[in-house]
Amino acid sequence: MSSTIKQRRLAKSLLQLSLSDDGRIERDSVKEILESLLVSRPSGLVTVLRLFLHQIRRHEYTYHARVEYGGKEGEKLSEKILEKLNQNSSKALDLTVIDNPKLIAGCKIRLGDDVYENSISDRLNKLQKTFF
Amino acid sequence: MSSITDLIRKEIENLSTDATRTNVGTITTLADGVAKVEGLSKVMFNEMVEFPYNVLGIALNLEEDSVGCVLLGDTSSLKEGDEVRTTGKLLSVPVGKALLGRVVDAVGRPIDGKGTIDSDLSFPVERIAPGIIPRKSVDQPLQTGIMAVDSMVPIGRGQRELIIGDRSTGKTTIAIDTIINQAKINKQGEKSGDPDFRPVYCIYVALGQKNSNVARTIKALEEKGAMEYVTIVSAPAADNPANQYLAPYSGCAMGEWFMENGMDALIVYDDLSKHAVAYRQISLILKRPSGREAYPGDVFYLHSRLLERSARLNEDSGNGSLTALPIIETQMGDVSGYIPTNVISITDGQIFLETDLFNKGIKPAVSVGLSVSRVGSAAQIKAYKKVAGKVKLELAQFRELAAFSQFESDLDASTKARLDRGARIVEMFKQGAYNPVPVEVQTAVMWGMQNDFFDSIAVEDITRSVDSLKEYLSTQGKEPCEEIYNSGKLEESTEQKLRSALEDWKRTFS
Repeated sequence: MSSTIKQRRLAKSLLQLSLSDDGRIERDSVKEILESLLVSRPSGLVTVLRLFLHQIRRHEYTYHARVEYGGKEGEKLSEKILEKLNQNSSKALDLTVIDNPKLIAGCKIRLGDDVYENSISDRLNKLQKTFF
Repeated sequence: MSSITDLIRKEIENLSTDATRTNVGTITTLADGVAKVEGLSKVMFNEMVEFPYNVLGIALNLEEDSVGCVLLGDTSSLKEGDEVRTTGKLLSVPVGKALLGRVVDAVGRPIDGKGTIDSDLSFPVERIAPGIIPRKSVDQPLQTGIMAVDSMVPIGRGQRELIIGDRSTGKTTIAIDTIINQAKINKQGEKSGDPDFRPVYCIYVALGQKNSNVARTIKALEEKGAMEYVTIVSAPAADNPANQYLAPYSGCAMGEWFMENGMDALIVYDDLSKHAVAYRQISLILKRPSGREAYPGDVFYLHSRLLERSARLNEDSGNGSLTALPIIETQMGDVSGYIPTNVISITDGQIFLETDLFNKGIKPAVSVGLSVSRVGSAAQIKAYKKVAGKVKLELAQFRELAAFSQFESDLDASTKARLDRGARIVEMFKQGAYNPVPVEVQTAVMWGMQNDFFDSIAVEDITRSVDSLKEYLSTQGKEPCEEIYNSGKLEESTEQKLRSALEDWKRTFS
């Protein structure tokens, strides 16, 4: 479903209204916004809601780090990783830790659009690229 | 076997163990070689991005919520939701002498089945053109070997000369003739052992052409032994528009390497009309606002930034040059079209080829009135300047008088003389394809025309007589031509030798 610039801008401003002072999504604000939207019913409401949901999800990624690890020691590193990430971020971060055997060993952290990786599978991929 | 093991071991030792940081996004839409990607918040303009299955792309549209990327490869395996990664690199192509004699695609990958290209050097595809300070005015000739061009619209090293005309008027032939002539001159110069000799390396960018045409061009170059000085960048009609858009810039980067390393290079863009069409296609898919004839607003900049990269550098900057011969196809001889006028205004002159002349059998079908070189006689050797000075005026007068003379049965002697001379010049300029003539032979033939050696020959025999004279001057009457070649001047003593050589030839010609 295509959207107009006006709808995208509205969804963005709704996101700004949903943020708390520390830049995180505030559930109560989102609830209020949704209620007012249902009352005012702007044109293309479904599209605006879809875009708003998309914006919320994308924003959540900016403070919700996803850590994938491979090997036995991975889980123990999670606290250390969270501590390091919090040092470098202006927002308080959340962390989801997932075991990913495809990495073989090491870890991969995704925060927003940034991916930090130091794993055996990544090194093997790099090695493969040098040959082909 | 052990060497393979050693190679693997070496690569493993050199492999970086540092953590990598990349910026990622996901494909939201994918159509006609263009992908819209969400994410990639830190991508740079024109940065190479990596799609799954080793497909590369270039970030061309940086929008508020998404990034528009053109894809450079097989997109059939890609799908919505696939991850895209930044590489931190701008698109680069291999450069250097290792590319000579090779056929490559728009990103510099070999497509001629002759193995990998042995070059460690690479240049970014998009570069800023040399500024005012490192440039020098064009004063060194670049011989095309085509008499009509070298005499009336001389081209200099570092010049941008447009070849323009309708379909099937011989535009590509002029470009290929020029390349073949460079190879001939290069071989002659290298054989002479002259330390000051500067070879001209050539790059031919085949854009949106049929593969059979490209194959024919390669064959012609190979048959004439010119391929060893040529690199062909091919983005055929079947290639995706992104490759067709990139190919001229890639070819230009390859030519710039020669220029920046103090060498001379020639680049042919065949043709830029198709380049503009490919860019229009990409722009429309990227939903950029369209303007006249649905071209995007920056279609002038598309060609100006490409052609401005051709230049003649001064001694402090290495004294190299990059000459450009862009080709534009017109519709029904209309030079006032959008793309033709853009490119005419960017280049330093144009060779206009007329369909009517071509159909009359006047080949190359160079239009005297509409063709011009803004460098002029500065790009001619002294000897040639001396004999070719008046020819353009004479021919222009002939064309005008010929049109009027159709209505006049009784002409005065002076008009008849002009018409007679003009008809002979037209015949003299007729030249077969892939048969360039050395400048010293051209000078001698033109001198013969200026000194009335052809006046007693019937007009219909002029072409045959010129061919016979060319052959004579390459065999028995070599001496005056050698003098012209060595000195570049037409001294009185040379003229005397030329006179006696032409008298000898005329006695033998029947």
